[in-house]
Amino acid sequence: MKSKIKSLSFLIIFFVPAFIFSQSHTVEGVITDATNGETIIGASVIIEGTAKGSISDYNGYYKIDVSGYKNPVLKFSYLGYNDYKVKVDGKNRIDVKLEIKSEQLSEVVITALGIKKDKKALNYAIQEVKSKDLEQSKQENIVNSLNGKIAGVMVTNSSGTPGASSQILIRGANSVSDAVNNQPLFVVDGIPIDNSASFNGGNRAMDINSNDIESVTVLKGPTAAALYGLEAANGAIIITTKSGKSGVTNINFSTSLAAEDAVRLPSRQQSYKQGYRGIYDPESRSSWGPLFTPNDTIYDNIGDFLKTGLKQKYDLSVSTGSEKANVYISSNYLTQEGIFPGEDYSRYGILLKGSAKLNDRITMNLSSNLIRSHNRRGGLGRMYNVYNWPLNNNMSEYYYPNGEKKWLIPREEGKEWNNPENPYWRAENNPINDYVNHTLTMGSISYDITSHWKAVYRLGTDITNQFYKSIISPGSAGSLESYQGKITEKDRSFRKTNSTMMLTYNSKIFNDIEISALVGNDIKDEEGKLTIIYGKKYRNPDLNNINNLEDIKAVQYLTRKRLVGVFADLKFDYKSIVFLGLTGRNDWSSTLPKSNNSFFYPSVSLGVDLSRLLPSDNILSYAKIRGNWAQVGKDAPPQRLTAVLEPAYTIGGGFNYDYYAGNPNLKPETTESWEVGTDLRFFKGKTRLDFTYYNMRSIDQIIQSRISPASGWIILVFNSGSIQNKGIEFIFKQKLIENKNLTWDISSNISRNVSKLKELPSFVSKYPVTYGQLLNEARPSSVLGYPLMAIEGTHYLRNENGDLVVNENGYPRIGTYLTDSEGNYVYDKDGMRKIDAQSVYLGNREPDYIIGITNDLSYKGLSLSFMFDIRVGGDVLNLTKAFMLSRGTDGSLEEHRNQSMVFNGVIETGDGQFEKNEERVILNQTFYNSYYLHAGENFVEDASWTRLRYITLSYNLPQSISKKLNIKNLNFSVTGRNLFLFTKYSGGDPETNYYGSGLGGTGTAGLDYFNVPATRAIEFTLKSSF
Amino acid sequence: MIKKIIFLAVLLVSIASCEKFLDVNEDLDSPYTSTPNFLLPPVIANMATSIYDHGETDSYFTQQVATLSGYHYEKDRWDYLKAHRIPQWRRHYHNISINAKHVVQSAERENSTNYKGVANIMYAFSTLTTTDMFGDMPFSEALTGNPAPKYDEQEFIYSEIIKLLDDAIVTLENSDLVTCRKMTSKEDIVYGGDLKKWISFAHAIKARALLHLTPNVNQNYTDVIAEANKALENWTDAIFNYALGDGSALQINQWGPSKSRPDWDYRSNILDKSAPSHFMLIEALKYDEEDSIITDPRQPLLMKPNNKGEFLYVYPGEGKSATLSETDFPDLYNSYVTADLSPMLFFTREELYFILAEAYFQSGNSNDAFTALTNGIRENMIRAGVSDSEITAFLNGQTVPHQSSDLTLSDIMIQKYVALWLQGEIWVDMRRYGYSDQIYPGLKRPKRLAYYWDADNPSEWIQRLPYDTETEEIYNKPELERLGAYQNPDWLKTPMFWAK
Repeated sequence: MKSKIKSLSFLIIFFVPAFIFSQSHTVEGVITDATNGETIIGASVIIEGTAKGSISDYNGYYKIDVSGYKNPVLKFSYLGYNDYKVKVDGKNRIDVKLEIKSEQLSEVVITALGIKKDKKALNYAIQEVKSKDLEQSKQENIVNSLNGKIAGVMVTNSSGTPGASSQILIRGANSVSDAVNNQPLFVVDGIPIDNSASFNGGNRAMDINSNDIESVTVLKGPTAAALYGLEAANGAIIITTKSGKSGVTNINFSTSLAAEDAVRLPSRQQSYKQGYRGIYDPESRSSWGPLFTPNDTIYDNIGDFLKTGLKQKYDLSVSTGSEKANVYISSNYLTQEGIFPGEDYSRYGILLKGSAKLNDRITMNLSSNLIRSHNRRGGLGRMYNVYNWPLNNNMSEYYYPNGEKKWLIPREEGKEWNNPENPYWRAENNPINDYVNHTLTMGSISYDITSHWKAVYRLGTDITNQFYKSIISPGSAGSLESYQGKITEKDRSFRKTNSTMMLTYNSKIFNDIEISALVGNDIKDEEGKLTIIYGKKYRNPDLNNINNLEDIKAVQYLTRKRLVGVFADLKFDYKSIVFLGLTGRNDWSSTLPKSNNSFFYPSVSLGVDLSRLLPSDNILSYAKIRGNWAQVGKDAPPQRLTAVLEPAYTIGGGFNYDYYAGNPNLKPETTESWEVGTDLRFFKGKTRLDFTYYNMRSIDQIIQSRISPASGWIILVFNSGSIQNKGIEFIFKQKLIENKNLTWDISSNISRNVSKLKELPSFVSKYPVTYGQLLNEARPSSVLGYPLMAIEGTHYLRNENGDLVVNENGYPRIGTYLTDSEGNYVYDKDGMRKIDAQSVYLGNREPDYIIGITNDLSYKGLSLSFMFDIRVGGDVLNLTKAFMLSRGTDGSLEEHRNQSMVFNGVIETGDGQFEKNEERVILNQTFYNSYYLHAGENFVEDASWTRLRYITLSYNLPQSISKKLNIKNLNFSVTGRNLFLFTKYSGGDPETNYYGSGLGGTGTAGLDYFNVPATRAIEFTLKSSF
Repeated sequence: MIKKIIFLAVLLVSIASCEKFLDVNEDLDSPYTSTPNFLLPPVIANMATSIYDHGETDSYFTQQVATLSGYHYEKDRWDYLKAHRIPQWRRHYHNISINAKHVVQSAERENSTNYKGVANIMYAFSTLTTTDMFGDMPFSEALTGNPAPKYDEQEFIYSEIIKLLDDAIVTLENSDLVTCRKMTSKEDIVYGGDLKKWISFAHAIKARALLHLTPNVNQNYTDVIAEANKALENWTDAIFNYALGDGSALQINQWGPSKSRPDWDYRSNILDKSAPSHFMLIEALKYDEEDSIITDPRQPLLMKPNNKGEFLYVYPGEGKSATLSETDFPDLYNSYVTADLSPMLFFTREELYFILAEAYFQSGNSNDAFTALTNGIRENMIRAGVSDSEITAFLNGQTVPHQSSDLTLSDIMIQKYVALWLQGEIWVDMRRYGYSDQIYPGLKRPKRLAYYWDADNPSEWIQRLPYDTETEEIYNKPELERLGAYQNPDWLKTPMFWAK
């Protein structure tokens, strides 16, 4: 219809002047890209100052009639290119080369569903990291590469074990339950993939080779991800892999070699030997013995145990392409030795990508990424015995000369298992071997129906086959069962298939408004199977095979989940001044009750480029303000609606109820968010400031809560509770120096997220993390009214003046004074106040500020790049220290043990009266074990840190030399990772996660319990391209 | 345009077939229900674990055993404010009762009244042992999926227990084995499906429950005696025979030297870090420590001396001297109840005799009391492995009276104390009699109790456990506050309605 009006107006304009000027004048030509000569389809050609225009076709060819116009000037424009104007001057043929817009003013980013958009047109917070930024940090786990690069993102690496998982949270966590995921969706080349972590191993996104990644776009809030549906309720990480480019053939080879050791260790006392209550006791596991005498040997058990780990990586890739097709093939091999004996990680990967234009309108893409990895590691908390081993005993001597195992504590034969396990022996004999076969396959077809309409279909599948084997060799310590040997094998297969169909429409209406519309359909299908075989009691002590065990049991878990969604996206762009966006999506999920399994959620966004309304000047070149509001949902964990039975392994067998009560009335969780922000650019883009404020509320939390067992069950899944997350993100980029030889760029990200658990079911005031309950007195948890990623525990008793209250012997007391509903203290019959010993909120594991500052300098062929990663605030629960104290090994005992002190506090005398404490106490084993260790607050530490995350110096061989060697490019670089860590934290590296990233809810990030220490490294890399 | 229509049509069709596509939420691993023969065995097996759990807690309160460290929060200091978990709670509701209820539902569907009766007896038995530990607890609103059921009064629960037992007795007496599903030793490891024995067991539990009400709530010894005698008419001990198991962690007696701890919510025994208390060894077993003379022939069968032949004890809360090691103390393993394959004793013949002895004595019939006492001692000694001659020698010796006129209540209760070694029922006895120094001469509180126990009041004893701190304090806090049980040390001092 509109084109009819256009044609009509063409005719009128044509005919009228035709009577005046009898000549007709047409201009035609081809429009190409100035850099690579490719033709540009759909470029617009306008007679300047008029509404008359045309568009280039599939061959880049345009034709426009300029008859009747006096001195016509043609203006050519296309997204991502600078406009080009030329006077017609009577010519009939004008071929045009368009220049790509410089990066300073425009960025094409990949948004949801793989659609490329100019960032200026987007009204939500979105940030991109390019491959060169990813490469500098030399992190093998893609999640770790994002650390400090994106505002609003909190990354926590689990430990220094090679192949360890890493957790990523965007704008905090918005679900409190263990069973609900808080991490963003990972999408690779348009297909959502699985990023779970099984068996305390690595997360699946780390299987992707960093060197294959072209760019990573982070979509932060629900608006940005509203089109992905409920999997992206926590944001989305869009990964685009490299592709071949037409006309360019490249062979790239690179190799890296790195050495790493522990960056920081907890301090351990070196003065006291094995024993109990000050007396040497060779049967004790503790080091509460007497002081070492000058004649004693003090073994360096920890130093001798940890070693330097080596890493090697090899990458070979070939990319080539023509106008019709392009291909990218890459292979990589990574092998990494850990600092903990017996640990290593190796990975092989092949990525095959091809894209072909079947004809002018149809393009096909196919890609297949095959990865195979193997990780050998120990069990959780394996540093426990390393740190606690008495120093009077040589831990490295764990065999007698005759080959028999040497134990710390002499026991009678057959009972030796009542002993701490020697870490060397354990590393040698009780490994966990974790094998992953991961295949990501994707195919897509795009069909340009007309110049306005386009259809895309994508089908992808992510298949993981994982095999885990944990061996507890006969002769192990711990229990009779360990002593007899055990093997656990877990066989996991998981498939995630995604099919997306999209139809897009782009056009201009009313001349000034560009409209792009999209409708689509998503179908997701997931299937998982986990088979566990566990056996006990070895027959032959040397055969580590399940067949060799007497007592074998197997169990299997099957899950299935399916989702169907339809979605639509509408965007309006008025003269590139005002941008309006609307989305709507409806999902149907198999995990919700059939009667109520559908839910709809919309979003709306608005942006205004103020700089277009103001006169252009050299100072403010761009000023956009934006705001948006969105809703997104999360569904329930699968198979949770009805209570099931599980087999009983007691005598007689049979079935009994397992933990979960059913709930036939489950609803989806909903998050509602709004966001405002501004993107300002100064001095022709040399200075960039981007500021965002967001506020999100998540309600109908799908709580998988423990309930009173008096209900008959242990856990119930139901909806209740709400969480708020609000915060700011600030991005600052500055080109400090830019001249022919020297450039210096600074880029910094600052973010702050404040969360609050606003509501919980009436009978729940706390929500502890199930896998973090290692110590009664303090644990990771969520507490009503406080930040979500909390620590909850016990504390010393204090009165209303803030004085520490001690007992009549001078020892501190634990708890809070009990108050009634009016806030009055409650007294017992002796006039003493009653105590509430319940645990309370102690700290917040989420930092107050996360700051990342990256500097990039280059001088001729040299470049230097370094990043400071600063966290302000954020607490870590240091249970490593708690358990070391209980064993008498913590470093603080050097100074404090056997000192006497008078606690600065008061004694309760009754009826609300207190007197000053004068009682002297000795800080001995009784003090630590009976008093200090019972206040969990003693182990909550501020984990603020300043860290030099990486520093990389690289040198590019000058073209003159590399040409002589027949190489396109040769680059040497050396990187230092984690070389400098400044923190007041008393333990090892405060960036730690006890259980790994595989947990839902707030997880165990910020729980320090005997993980393998984080590492620092030096890495040398050689990159060449042919 | 036509393309658009086709597209929309396809979309609509696919949405309609959506329903079927999404119907995949059924659990593929596990069934939702089953027939009662598959549902009964775990109820009985979990009851055995529960009996262990009760004994493992209570036998330290009654000072049959004491820890060698003296440091144990719960056992030595009666400090439950820091307790992480009280497993008996969840064992009763989730492991036993909801499954017993499921047996009843499943049995009612097919009219297998034998299964229904047996399941209800187990439910009543577990409710009794649990309420004797906790007092008021959810009953009428329990087991319905209600996440925070209200707590009923203990007195009401007791009347409900009696009702359950009476109904079960009637059900079983009227069971038609022809129409009921078969119950063999495969499903019923205790009695092999013999309903008459279950009826006797129900009478025995009734006798125990009614005895608990004496002497403080009522003095109705007649019914106690009637029920106990009814049980004895056709009595086989109700025991759980671990020798029939496969030796795996879940299928051995947790009292055994393997210290089995099948899963995170089980507790392994600490007998290797415990020893008989002074009260047990010297006052109850009457061991002459000066001249090393063994008075009670059960003593060497309950504990093995050290390699010097000595029997050492500890005082609760004091711990062993630093100069001694664990091996200096008696080995408590491999007695008739502490071997890996020892049976778990639900209810023994000797307990019935002791119930009779106490009831007869309190109602003035010392002759029948004396006979019952002698029978009880004899039964227990046989079970422990004492020879006939030693039994006779003991009965004629100095420890027990030789005629009914010399009989005291203390004689009965002390002998019951020795006979019910490591069983929770003794704690009920002690509380019924207020830990009296007359009944239990020489019994003193542990040395280093937590600060909220009055050090100057020797009659302030532990009367109950707090509700499971891991769940009730968090998930049912309002009910705890209503009862005054929330983080309140005085709650532990509050006697049961049947205690002194």
